Amino acid sequence: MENYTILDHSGIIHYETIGELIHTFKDQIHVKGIQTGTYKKILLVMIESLENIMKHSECCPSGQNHASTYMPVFSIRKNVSQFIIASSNPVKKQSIPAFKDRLEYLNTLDQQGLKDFYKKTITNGLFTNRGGAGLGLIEIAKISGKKITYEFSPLDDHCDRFNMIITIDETSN
Amino acid sequence: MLPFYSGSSDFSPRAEFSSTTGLFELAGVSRPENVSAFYSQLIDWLKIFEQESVHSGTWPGNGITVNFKLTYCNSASSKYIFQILEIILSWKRYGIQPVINWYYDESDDKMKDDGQDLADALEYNFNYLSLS
Repeated sequence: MENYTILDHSGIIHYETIGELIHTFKDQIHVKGIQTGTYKKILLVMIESLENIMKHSECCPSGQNHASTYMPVFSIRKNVSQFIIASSNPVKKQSIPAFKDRLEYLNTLDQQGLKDFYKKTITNGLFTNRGGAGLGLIEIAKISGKKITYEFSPLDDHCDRFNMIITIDETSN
Repeated sequence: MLPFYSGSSDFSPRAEFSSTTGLFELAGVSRPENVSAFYSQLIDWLKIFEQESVHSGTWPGNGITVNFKLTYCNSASSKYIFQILEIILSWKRYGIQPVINWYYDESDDKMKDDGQDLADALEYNFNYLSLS
């Protein structure tokens, strides 16, 4: 099986941008012969990842929101047996400890643990101040069935770049 | 009470609620730009419907049926759908036994899983039906 790139985007993510990227991705399904079940999983991870970027990429220094250093990056690639969904965006340093705790906790859970955590989160009635439900990363972990690979690399005194990689097996349906 | 209707778009579901038939239906893709605004109007409608039904002592003769025919919903929408179902299931205290039909594409296990996760969180049985 060949390795190939399905989607490669660099730039600020708005609501409309996500719609455009969804359409671009959908155009690729038939061309690349991606099975429906796998396509749906990639699509769901893609949307939750892009919505996370849209909600959290707000720490560009004034006047630098178009500087490449602070630009969100998103891609979907295929290797021999997996689809690799990579996202990268600046996040405020102050939000990193809670973010890291959540990711580390998710990576300790198996599928049943993720289902239980999902249930606990959907029933708590809470929404974040950005309108999130706190379910996005849980959904991503549930769909992937694999550990979330991530890292934070310093950008400046206020922000780090958050890099996240999600993998989905080609045969998972 | 006037029925509620909101047409679908690329990223918003069709929402149709009728106080006469007791049929509530949500269909399509749910990723509205303003999730809170979109679902708040549905929640408000349901609360008024409940008030009017309790006040008049009249509920739809055929009971309450909720059809979900979603092909995708983002995680924020899921939380609001949970809230909508919490309201509808709270009507059990008035002797209503809502029927929840969760439709899914048979090639899409994830959508069926989403319904099962919601049913599990609500501790209520859904009917799972093929969209085709």
